[in-house]
Amino acid sequence: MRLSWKIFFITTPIFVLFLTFFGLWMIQDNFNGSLDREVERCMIENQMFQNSYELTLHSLSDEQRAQASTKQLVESFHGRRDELSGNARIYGEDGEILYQDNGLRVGHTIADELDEENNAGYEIVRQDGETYLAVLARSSSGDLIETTRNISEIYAERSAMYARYQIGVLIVSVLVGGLILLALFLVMRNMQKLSSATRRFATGRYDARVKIRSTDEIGRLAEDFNWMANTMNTQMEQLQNEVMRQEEFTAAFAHELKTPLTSIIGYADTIRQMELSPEETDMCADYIFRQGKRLQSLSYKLLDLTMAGREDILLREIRAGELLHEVERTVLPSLLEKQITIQTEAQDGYIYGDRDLLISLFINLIDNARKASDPGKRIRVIGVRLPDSYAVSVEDEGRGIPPEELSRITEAFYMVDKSRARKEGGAGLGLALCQKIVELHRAVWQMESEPGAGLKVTVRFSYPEEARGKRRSRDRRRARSPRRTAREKKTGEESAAQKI
Amino acid sequence: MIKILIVDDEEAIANLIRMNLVKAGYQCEVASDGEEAANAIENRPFDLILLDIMLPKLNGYEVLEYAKTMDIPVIFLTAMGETQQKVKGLKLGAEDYIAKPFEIAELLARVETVLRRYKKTERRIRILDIEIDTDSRTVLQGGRPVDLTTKEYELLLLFVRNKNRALYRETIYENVWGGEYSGTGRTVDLHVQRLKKKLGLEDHITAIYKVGYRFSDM
Repeated sequence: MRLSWKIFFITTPIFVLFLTFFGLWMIQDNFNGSLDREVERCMIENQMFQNSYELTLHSLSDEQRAQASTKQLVESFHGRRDELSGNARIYGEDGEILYQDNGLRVGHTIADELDEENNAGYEIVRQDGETYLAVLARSSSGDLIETTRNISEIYAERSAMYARYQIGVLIVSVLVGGLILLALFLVMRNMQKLSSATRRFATGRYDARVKIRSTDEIGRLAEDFNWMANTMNTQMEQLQNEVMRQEEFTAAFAHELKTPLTSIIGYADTIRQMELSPEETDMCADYIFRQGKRLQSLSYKLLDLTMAGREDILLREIRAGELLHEVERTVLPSLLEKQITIQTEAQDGYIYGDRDLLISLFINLIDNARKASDPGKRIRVIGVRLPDSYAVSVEDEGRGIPPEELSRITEAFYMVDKSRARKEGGAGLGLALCQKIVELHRAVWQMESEPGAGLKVTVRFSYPEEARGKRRSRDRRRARSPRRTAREKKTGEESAAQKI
Repeated sequence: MIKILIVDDEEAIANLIRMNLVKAGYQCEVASDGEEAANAIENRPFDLILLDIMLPKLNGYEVLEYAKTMDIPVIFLTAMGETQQKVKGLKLGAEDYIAKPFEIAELLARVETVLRRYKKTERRIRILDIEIDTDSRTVLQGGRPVDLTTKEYELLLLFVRNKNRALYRETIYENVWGGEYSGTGRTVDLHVQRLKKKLGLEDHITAIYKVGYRFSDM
């Protein structure tokens, strides 16, 4: 059963029930009031009749009393009676009727209830489809005076009221029921919208949204739904992008694998199938070896990339100068081989990061610079201490990168000049790895390049929050010990002076 | 002599193909990018082009379209699994494709097939005292016709086209019979024995222990 019907079937009967009870009570109360007034009126009427009768009787002398009949007596004061007044009757002490207005006799038992103290009483009597109110009182003379009044009208009025009220309740119930239903359907229509949107969403139509302008709970629920859908969409898009990147990476990786594999398999196949001259065999073996090396370097780079893909790293305080000079020592042999000079200038300062990863980052950057440089050129590595960060830039005098390629060079396996990069032994993973490391350190990097005028990569490592506090306190300590500052400054100058 | 242009920016692969095709008796030239390939096609006649798809400067498809205007058959080289590349290449009019990594025998077989389709192979192959007419599929030895079964004829053709090359049993089986070589049957050995007997090639077709056979014309 739908909620709207449930609410309808609960509220409407309760409403009708209350309406009915209230109406019944009103009518009954009204009726009781009317009846009480009628009884009072009749009592008064009876009283007045009795008074008049007694007065008249007393004003007569004994003779006159004996001569005149009761009828005459009554008529002397009762002549003015009209239609509205009741029917009066006088009984003698022995029960005979001394006087009556008309022949209407109403059977009642009031006489039995009258006694010394209570000499008047009334009774409502139903007779021949009419309702009468009879009042009986004992006069001082001992006669019983009875007045009767037809009060059918009050009852008829009550019945009429009931009938009218029934119709009223019916109409009001239908109206109210209709209104409740209408209101419920309006509310439920929104629910319906929400529910159908949810269903659509569940069946995979992720653009499903609810358009509800109301501000009630359902409106808020709809808002929440839309919000949830948006969030989910964003997350799904992110996941899809992630999957797509993963697929692209896998495809590029597979392609990168196939090239050396093709050479290795092909040359090996040639050796085992053909009788080759020793020179040819050497050549084939050399190709197999070199391509095997390429696979090896690819796998190492990939491993590095996976390692750099860790969620978080421990940031340690590392002296920038020491780090950069260590990197310089590592890359020096391969640079000398190509007759490229390196110049490292590092201002005294700290980088917060993972030592191995940072070394890997700078080696990769310098390696890239080396690949882009012709013999005799120079590579400059410069470390600059800034108020809130430490910036390291690697600058070469190589061929540079066209501006339209700048945004793509960090993609895995992307190479600006494929055949050249291959000759230099590149797999297209270096900058992708650098990107990962930079992201892991929450550092920012910037590449500036003019085709033909070299590439400058600047990485800015900002200090972490807690380190900033530490730095400030250290700076204060430094201020207190000027000798130490001077010494540190000297080492800074030393590192700046170290050149090749 | 048949001239083949090899287009691949990977020096190792280009050299591998060149080396093997030269050994098989073709004349080869290597181009390392699309532009170089286009220039070569324009200036010199080629019978076949082996074309890599991912090339610097002009990509493989563009070179392919250019080659089509010169009516030169093209076999393109593609990394395995890249179905879209294959479909696109074939739709653009390539004769065949070779998926990297490939085996040399497969490379030679595909080159051979395409050349035959274009009737660029020599119709008559003469080796030792044997003369093979590939059109009528007849074999003459010393001017006398030799009666060979279809399988024996194809076996002979395979040996002749891969002379001085060790042919593995599985390579032989896959090329002559087609389908996967189970590695147990004696089918290949039986047919080789019969072929040797019929043509008196006992000295020229030598069994290589655990590998297969080699045919040499010396």
